[in-house]
Amino acid sequence: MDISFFNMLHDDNIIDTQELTNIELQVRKPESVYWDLRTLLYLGIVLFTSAIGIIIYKNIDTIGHTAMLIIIAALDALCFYYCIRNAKGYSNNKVESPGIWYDYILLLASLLLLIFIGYLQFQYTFFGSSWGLALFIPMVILFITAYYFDHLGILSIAITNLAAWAGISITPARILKENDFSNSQTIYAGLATGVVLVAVSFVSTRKKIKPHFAFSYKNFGEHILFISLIALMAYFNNIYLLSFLLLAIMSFLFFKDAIKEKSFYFLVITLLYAYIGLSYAVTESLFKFSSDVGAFYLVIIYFIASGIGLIRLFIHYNKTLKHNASL
Amino acid sequence: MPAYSFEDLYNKFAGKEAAEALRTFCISKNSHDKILEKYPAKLYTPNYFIRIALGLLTFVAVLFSGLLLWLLTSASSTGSISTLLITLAILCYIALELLVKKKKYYNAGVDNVLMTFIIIFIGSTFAFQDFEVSWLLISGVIMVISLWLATRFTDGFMAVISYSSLLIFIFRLYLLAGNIAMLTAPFLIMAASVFIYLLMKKLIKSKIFSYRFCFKCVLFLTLITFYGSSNYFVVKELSSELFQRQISDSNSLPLGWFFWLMTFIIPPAYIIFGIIKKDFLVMRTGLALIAATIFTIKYYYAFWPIELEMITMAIIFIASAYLLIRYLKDGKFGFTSLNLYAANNGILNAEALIIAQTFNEQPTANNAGLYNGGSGGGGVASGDF
Repeated sequence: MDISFFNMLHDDNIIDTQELTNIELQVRKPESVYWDLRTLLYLGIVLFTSAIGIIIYKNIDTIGHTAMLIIIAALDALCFYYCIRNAKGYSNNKVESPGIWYDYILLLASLLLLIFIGYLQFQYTFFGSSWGLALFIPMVILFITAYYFDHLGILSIAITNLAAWAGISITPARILKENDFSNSQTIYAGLATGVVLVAVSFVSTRKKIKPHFAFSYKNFGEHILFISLIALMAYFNNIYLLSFLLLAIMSFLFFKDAIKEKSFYFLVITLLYAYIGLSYAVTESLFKFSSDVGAFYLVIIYFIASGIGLIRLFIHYNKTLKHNASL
Repeated sequence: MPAYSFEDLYNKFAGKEAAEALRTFCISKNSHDKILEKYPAKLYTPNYFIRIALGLLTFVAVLFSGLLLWLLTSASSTGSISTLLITLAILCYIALELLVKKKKYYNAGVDNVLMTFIIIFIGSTFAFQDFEVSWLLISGVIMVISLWLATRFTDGFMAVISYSSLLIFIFRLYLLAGNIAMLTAPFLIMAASVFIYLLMKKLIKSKIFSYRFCFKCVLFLTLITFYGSSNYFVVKELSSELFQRQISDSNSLPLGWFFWLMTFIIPPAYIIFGIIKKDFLVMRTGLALIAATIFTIKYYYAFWPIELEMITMAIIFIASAYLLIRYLKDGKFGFTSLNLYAANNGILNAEALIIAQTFNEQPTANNAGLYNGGSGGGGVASGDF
């Protein structure tokens, strides 16, 4: 903060002496390296768990399996023991973390648990040939861990496990790369997962059960739902207008919700997905109507006009949501 | 020279200062509102997400406008395509000036994308020539245009492009001096980086508040270019690439020891300098550059198997984080490990998303990737680590 600017404000009686003192103290306050240390811990845990994964993968045929499993289980139990001892207990409301160290030990414990179950299944087919069960068990444990210890990161891992159990990938970098949206099974799984996640988000807020978890559910849910709806338009090409109608209804509902929640983020993603769906419907309709160069020109003009139109719409809603807006 | 009036820019600055003071609980909401009343914000900068959306839509609109113009003119020869690209750049510039003048857009997404398109269109013009255009000319032109855009619209990204073009320009110009230039080019880039760094430092402290962000962007890049021009890997690989000089391990890089020394020294030097000066930008750059140094060493020498190296690094990271958390708990040397302000939900949700992305390597029920070997990611077995 620029002290000279605030001195000037003080001289003009815009801020009082106490506020000026606060600012002077703030400038001299120790700088927080909280997020730097979190990043360092995060990198340490990424490296550690990845290295363990590599060790297992490289030595899967030669390693003493029982010994390896015991080591992982012991480490995991140690981490969980530390977290249980320091946990503040369950509450439906947000429970503040006891510290950075605690957050990441809990993350490490959960990841070691995933490694342990994966190893157990691979080596001893512990859950039989049912891969679904091998995914379901860690998913449930992750959800319990996330809720009991109030950890957003573990909740996100649990949600991605839930989607994996349903047969799809929902993390940002993989959602388009790893899902085969030309397969109806994937589309249905995406739609079902999306609806479930959005419904859980709604219930979390409504019933006030960890309402701060609602964002994660809604975020993953809305993306997979919209992508699946757009894929549905392409898959059932002969009835794409029907799928578009469904997309339009969902967009309208999410749009109303974003306005109500004053969320810029959800407003933007809802309108952009709706725009992609609309653009698909418009181009498809125009090319079905006529396949000559005229239709091509119309498509280009549509994109120019709709782009400018949507810009104006965003500017309008930016003004509407500006006051007391959340994320 | 800026497209915005001094008053508008000052009010913007006042608004930012007031917001920061309110966020850190130094002033009351009432005082914050009084500041905004005295310095009303007239420049239009929407919410961050809206900016991204506006940028994307501007991208779509400009792209299709260009396509329409190309179809209407049927440009096919190099001359006509060049004319078309220059026309598009001019049209973008006119639109930018009009939007800034009438709508007072300031980092609104639309203006940023229009500026980027101006540079892309001008840059592409050189690619559509029958003859080879020298890098000296391309970098010179881009440098002048981006410098103008940065000055006129106080844009940080344009300032970064301008600085990058300047480095390419002086590098290419210096190479005209002959063989000696090839050997000493890294030192020229180092010197240029230091000079611009000192200049930016001076300018940041000056009263030119409206360009402070541009100066900070360039300052950050000078730290990177200084390290890059003295990093053993960068110098060695670029030398063989640009000068077709085959440098094998036996025929090592001239003054190789010096570049190795710099590769090792610079990141910790940045960290120490950043801590002493309480300059987070320098300190964090130093931390990030440690990764570049590790990569450089690993590229030429393998000491242990990768998993052992990773575990060693992990232990170092976790142990140093643990010790620092405890040591800085009560604040030492002007630093504290405590979170002074409650993190907003946005940051926590973003962190959760990163964690899910990094550790999500779970197989889907249809495709049991993990149990078939899997790939990447922390926490699970990996096939293509």
